[in-house]
Amino acid sequence: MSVELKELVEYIAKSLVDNPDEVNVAEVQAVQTSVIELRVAKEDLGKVIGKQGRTARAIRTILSSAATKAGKRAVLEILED
Amino acid sequence: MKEYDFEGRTREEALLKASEFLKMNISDMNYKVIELESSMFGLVKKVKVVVQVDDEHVLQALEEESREDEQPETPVMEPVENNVPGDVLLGERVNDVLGRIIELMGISAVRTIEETDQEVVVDIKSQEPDVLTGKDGRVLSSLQFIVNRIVNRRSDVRKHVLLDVDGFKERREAQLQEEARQMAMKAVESNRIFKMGPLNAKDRRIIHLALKDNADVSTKSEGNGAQRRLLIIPRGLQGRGGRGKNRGRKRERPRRQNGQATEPKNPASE
Repeated sequence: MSVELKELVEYIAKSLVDNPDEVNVAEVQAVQTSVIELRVAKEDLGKVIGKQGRTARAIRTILSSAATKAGKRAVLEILED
Repeated sequence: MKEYDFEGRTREEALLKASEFLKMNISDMNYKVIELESSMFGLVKKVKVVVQVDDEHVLQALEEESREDEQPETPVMEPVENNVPGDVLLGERVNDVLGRIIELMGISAVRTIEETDQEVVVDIKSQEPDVLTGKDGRVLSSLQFIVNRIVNRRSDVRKHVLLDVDGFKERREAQLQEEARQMAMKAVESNRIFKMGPLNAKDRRIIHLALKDNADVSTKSEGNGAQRRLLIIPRGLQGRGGRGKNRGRKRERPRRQNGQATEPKNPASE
């Protein structure tokens, strides 16, 4: 089984929001670090960030754990569409 | 004619139940006795009595009663079930969502799911449990939080989803309790206040409870949010735990000045 960081973020985000069609995820890969850029509809921003950023923090924790398993580092950027 | 089954530890017990339920005298009943379980010494542990009822009046009365009984019997379950489209239980959804997330994390894992009317309890077994729990269980709480968010998002039925990886939570609790005891000892020996590392609220609670009955120390937490730390205070030093500033629990929110809202919002920068 392989680690799919981009798909992981995409799946979680799409499951959380009201407009899954407007979820866009891009992965920018550097040597050891991946930057995952997550874009959601403006009204869904709160859904992926959560109260006091709790949802975003949880996604980052899960993402980091998966990345570590793959011997990488991953950074999640949440952007407004 | 209809047959009714009753169980008891003895024949008498089963027959009494039958008599009460059917509102018949035992002497009026036509029954047979079946021994369900017997121990090594031939002592019967469980007895089933099958009563044949052919009296029309008794049957009619029973039928009417069972119709009346149906509603109050399941007062909690019924509205819950009615709200679920097509009787979909949340457990299936939990299994799908969790399965997909774990798969995308690159892990294979077996899941056991138990569902009650209030909770969905999942135990995960994996070759790489650390990837799913993380240091201090942070990954596990994150997974639990996200899965809860996803499955309870639209449905009217809300159930708490509890995840565990091969008994991790229990082991973590035992480990924290042991750590608490050691820290308390050190604090007493050195007669100094001991500050624990960063812990989440649940873990702090475990430590507070572990030292609740320890007469040599008291515990309290200070600081806000991520900076909140648990202090273990030897008896002799109680009452000056907090070192002045910031002693109480969470500070109140910044006050509004003349009705103007304070605290600028910037949601994107977590």
